[in-house]
Amino acid sequence: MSEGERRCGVLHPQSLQRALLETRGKHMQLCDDRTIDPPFQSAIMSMSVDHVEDRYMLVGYANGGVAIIDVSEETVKDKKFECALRIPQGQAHDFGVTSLAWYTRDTGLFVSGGFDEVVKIWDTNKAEVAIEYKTKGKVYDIDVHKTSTLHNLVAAANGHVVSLYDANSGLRQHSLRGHQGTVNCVAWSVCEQYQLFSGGSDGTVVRMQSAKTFLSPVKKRLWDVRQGASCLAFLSPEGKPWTSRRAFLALPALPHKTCRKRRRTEHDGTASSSSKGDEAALLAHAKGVSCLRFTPDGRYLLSSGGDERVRLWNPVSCELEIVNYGAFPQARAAAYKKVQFDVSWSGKLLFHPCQNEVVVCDLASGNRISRLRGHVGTVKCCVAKPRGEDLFSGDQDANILVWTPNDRQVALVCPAGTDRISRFLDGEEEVEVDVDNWSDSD
Amino acid sequence: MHCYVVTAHRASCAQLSVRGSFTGPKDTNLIVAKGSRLVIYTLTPEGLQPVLDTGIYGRIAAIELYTVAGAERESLYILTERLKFCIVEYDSSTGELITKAMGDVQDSVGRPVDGGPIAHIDPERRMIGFLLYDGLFKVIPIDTRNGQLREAFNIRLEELQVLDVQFLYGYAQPTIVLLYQDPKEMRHLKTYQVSIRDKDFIAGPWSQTGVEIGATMIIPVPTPIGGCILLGEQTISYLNGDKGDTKTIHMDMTVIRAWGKIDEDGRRYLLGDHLGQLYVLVLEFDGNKVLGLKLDTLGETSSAKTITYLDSGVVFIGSCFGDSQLIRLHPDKDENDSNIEVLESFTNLGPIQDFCVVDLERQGQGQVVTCSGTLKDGSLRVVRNGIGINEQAAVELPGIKGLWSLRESIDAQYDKYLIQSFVNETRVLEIADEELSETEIDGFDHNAQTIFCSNVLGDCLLQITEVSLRLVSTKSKQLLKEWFPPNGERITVAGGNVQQVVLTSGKRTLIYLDVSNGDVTEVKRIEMDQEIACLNLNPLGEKSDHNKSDFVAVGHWNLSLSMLRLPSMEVVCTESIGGDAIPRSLLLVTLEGVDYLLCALGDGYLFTFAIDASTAQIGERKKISLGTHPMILSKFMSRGATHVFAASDRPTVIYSNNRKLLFSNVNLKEVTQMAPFNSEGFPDSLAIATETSLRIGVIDDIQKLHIRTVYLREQPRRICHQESSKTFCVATLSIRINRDGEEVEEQFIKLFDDQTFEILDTYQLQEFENTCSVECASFSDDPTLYYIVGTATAVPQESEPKEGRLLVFEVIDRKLHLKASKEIKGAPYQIKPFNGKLLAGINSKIELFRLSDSDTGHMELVSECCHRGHILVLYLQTRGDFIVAGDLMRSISLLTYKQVDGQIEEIARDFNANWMTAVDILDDDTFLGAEGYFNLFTVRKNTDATSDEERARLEVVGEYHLGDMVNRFQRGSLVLRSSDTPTTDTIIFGTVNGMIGVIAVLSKEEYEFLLKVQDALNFVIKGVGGLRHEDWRSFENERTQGARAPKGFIDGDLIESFLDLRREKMEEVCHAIGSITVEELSRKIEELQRLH
Repeated sequence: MSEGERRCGVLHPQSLQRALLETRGKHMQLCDDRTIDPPFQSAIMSMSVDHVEDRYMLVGYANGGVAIIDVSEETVKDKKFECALRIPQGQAHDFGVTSLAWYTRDTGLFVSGGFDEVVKIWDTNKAEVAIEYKTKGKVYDIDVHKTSTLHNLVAAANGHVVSLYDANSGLRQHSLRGHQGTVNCVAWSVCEQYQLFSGGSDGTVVRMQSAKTFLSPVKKRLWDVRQGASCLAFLSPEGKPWTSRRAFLALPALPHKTCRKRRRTEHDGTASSSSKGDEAALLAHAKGVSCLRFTPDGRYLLSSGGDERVRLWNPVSCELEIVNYGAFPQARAAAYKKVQFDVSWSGKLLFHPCQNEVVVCDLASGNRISRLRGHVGTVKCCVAKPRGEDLFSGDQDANILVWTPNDRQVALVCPAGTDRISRFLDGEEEVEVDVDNWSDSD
Repeated sequence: MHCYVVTAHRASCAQLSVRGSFTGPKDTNLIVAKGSRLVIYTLTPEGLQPVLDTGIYGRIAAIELYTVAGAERESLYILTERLKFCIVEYDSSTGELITKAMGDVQDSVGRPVDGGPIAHIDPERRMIGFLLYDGLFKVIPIDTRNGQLREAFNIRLEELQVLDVQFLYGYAQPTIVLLYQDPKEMRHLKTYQVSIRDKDFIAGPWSQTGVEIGATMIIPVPTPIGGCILLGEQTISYLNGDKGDTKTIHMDMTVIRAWGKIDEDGRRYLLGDHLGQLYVLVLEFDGNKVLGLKLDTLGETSSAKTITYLDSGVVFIGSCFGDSQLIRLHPDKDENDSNIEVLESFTNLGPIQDFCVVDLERQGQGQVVTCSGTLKDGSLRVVRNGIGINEQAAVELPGIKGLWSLRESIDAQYDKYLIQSFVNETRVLEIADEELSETEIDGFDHNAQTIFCSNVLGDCLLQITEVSLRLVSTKSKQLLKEWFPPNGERITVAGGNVQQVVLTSGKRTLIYLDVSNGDVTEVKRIEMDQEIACLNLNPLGEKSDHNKSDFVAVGHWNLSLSMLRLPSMEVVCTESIGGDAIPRSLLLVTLEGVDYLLCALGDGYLFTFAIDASTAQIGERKKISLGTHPMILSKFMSRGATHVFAASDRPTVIYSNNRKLLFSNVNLKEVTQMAPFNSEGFPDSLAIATETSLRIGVIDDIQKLHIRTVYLREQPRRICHQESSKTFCVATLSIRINRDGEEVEEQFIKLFDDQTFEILDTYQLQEFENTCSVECASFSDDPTLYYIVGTATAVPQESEPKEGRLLVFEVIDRKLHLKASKEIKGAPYQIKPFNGKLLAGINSKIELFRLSDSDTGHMELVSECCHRGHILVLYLQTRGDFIVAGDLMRSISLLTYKQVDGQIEEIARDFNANWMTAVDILDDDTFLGAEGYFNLFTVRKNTDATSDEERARLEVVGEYHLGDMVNRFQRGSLVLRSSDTPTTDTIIFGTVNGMIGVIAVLSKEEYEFLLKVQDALNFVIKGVGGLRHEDWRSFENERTQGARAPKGFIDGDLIESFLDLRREKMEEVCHAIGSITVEELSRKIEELQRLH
């Protein structure tokens, strides 16, 4: 891999550029050129960067406030990213803002949902609510389809159901049942228009799809949006995904609070693989699923849960990919356990908060690459720029830190035309990735 | 800032080639894809005949010829890198390509496959299979009954890193075999069968885990043998899961880049490796299964990228790293132990890694000297604008002092005789049925040097020697009349036309004779004040060959010209030409209706005077340098227009275009005499005499590029020219096989003479030292020019090269002397002279050095200041105190050197994340960049912005997709600039695919007008395969969300294609633009064409 090979056409420029980006992604460090002053002093609950311009980041706070920060490099002033908009608590939401999402086509519209049982669709420029929906339960997650050309449905995980709202008509479309406990997270499929996945505190990850039904007997729930029918397939670590309405109906409806405990004992092992007797093994995550993310090319779905594990799924076959990411222990005492993780733009790296660090893992193999240390408080969410190299992480103390690749470790470019990867240092010390940087604002 | 981008030399790297019957059922065609061009040849006994050369609106990623059910000739399938495909057929009546189908196989999500898309058509023509995105295999089913394409679908591939995929032969279901790498970097082969009905894979017939780690390519073997061959770096294996046994052979470590099938049944294959070795691989097949493999070396060719076996031992070797070749394989080895005979070589300039623009012949016309080719195919190519002469006959014949052509009669269509005059004799060549034979014309004096010779009215031939003037009958060839100058004086200078003759007798006597009626009549004689050096009485006016001339132009030894009226011989006007060179040749000529007097001087300069035909007043003059030796001017017709040939050490054709005189070099070393020679055997030819030979040839189209190749057998990487020492400094790389059979890389700095290109001196770099940059610079307080070479040390075992050097060489007595050497901590990717100091982009910083004398008396480079904040500074350009830096991935930034505190400071940056491959400065505020997704863009400084942030940002004002990767920009021009052509500074660029292009700046009005022309052309001209120009030129890279329409650039190739249209189409275009005629538009475009 060298500049010389690119120059004489032996190496396609795209290959060189990709390889460099991947290597850079493995050496992230705290950015000292660009920082963010916390707009609000409250624990951060959710973050989202827009896919249109790669420019604006929505941050949702535990006190109900929403902030929009301009994270484009061009508009850095005095080494700080500016806060473009602040919507304080009371105006935004009354209680914690659990989830925020930008509209797919432009940044004129975004959606927020929170513990105050409301889903709000905002007009960004006017900083006003355009449509408001009252839900029957706390909203834990919302998602907008990233690539859909056919619909503008917003999926909201609230209470025990996934509600779909149509931004065009302003109406609530369906409510989809299928979880025993609360639905904690929801994610639209990247490749399919009408497919979405949801994860609940019952430990199941459920998939909705219009066309296929799976016949093999493992718990899986597929939602068919258009039919408004119930769950269609469960994702499970053991064997193939499974769908059976009978099994679903056979399961007793459990009240929310006791769902976790009861699950284990009363779960009816209608799945053929339950012969092992360990029902917990049939769940996607033992202690509830807290966050779902797709890789940017839609090839894999990642789920993380209360069991402090991350699992990689094939969304087409609904099977588990055997990759061991290790444990991501979280702060025990946290009231709100959900931790938001993200995948890099290349789809090769996983960024997962782990107490007061962000762990960088290789997505394909599960190997740990590095640990980004810099937060004092517990890191609650992290989000990567959709087409950039920056990573943002927010913690319980309202701090948002910016991470970028270490420029001084550009693993690259031998000038001549031979197959070598070499790294050039300009003779200065590497900045230690592990150096503890106290954040500026306290 | 608006730019006009045009190709001067098309991309010449042959990347793909296929063979089939495309133009007709019995034809053997070779189709070659060169970047975004498609060239179609037919194989004839004489070699490859080009049939069609057309541009495609896309970079061609894959081509394949296949027979659609029931068709008699094959269709061509083309896939572009932007994932649009089309199927075209050849229409022999129009000679054009017709689109049969087209489509777009892009997906909205997915990571494009590393190394470019792969597409193949199933051998049974049931489907087209694509590998476009990681982890997805796309299928387009083909309806076997009628060849219609059905809807595409994706199948998920578990294997993410697929290196090659091919269709296997002989299975009931379409079967693919793929070579993939797993996360542990082991490579495996796996097969799948595609079920079109289920839109999914079925398990394939076999698989093979753990193949050679260096395996790169799969060759599918046709039935009856079946299976596939796997090519690696050290082994070649044959696998066919069904039949069990795998056969493997070992070979010396090498990288195979291309393969070609020889026999239809797949027994033999040609393999080409990165060093140009050609091998033949034979499968030993006993009718049932493969018993073994055999590999033999055949010889050396250019390093191949694509190999296509044509017919009876003739093979096309397409190369991206050297000249493509047409070779013939012989069964026996020749004296060099090679089975290869090179039949034809196709010039390839690519990859152009660096180039410089020089004026080697010091004539005001730029030439581009490129570093082309890799490894042993490396060469320096000297490219310049020039006219070609297609030679048809040549004979060794030194000492020709004069050359004329004569006809059988004054009205005959063709020339019959060629008169050559030598010092003491005259010879005559007669042409009969394409054969030239010596003959004699009885009436001529063959023992004297002829001064002038012509057909004259009255059916006579005229010969003027020093001694006399002879009139000879054309029919009988007998001497009719002989005229002697008075007092036995010698005739020194003579000139004439079909009716008149003017000659000198002695030094000053000028005699005017009428020879129009078979007799010689002296009309007037005068004595001139000044000695006569030359004269001419060519009649002015179009089609005036048989007219009389009203004037004679006379050149004198006292450096003046006179115009004398005939028949009175009164001096109408005199003009002094100044300088110190004597006029050697005059020509009165009318070009494009404008009358000129051309005067060639003894020092190679040419004067052009505007002449008034009625009054003979000499008008406006222009002076231009054409050579260094005395020139002879003569007139000739080419393609219906009058041209003037200036014979000298730098032969030039003078012609008029759009009422301007233009000059174009002829690619001959030197010409002493020229005569037009239009004979039956050699129509429209010129007879050209050089010092040593006589040649007859047809003159080419004017304004083609002439390329001179200096083969180096090693790879030139950087080049720089130094005018003062008349040398080139070239950094080269060569690979040597050492005693252990390993490849050892060596790098050198070589000094070349700039005329002969002989190597004057060599400096070998240390082990693992690589040259990054070579420049010519001088430092303040020191008038000497130095060559500065920047090198970097990259040790393979160490992952952290820490060092580099800056070497300062002075050329003394044509040898390199190392004057100073500075160790630096990093790779100096680019160095540039900067206001008496040296600016270097070293890794992530820009550093400024000055040359000073150290304590020990040696010279030393001392660092003055540096600027950090980049990822890698790969490119630098300077203008005054401003520095433009091109970063590896952070686009362009503008910096300035502050004299006050001696620091470099950043002023503004472009915040787009562009992967730069070259930068240049258009003017003080606008900068040009080329980036790694084959786009060009321009940015501008916001000097009048209000806020600091806006001033710190470079605004993007132009975006354009070039379709090729630019390695270097340089200011300069390939076209001769005479004093009156407006000096629009142009930028020349060279690319990886061997394209040389020119960028010129347009004014706003010109840009807007040309936009309309572009739109009208797109409306009328349809791209091949339904591909659209707007899509092709749109700016796109991995960061943009989809493609952005081009802005600020005009596609010169599209504009110039207007001139090749048929008349009706031209009128359609003008109609679409409105308010412009075809002539006006043609004229404007021809003027633009003169940029290159």
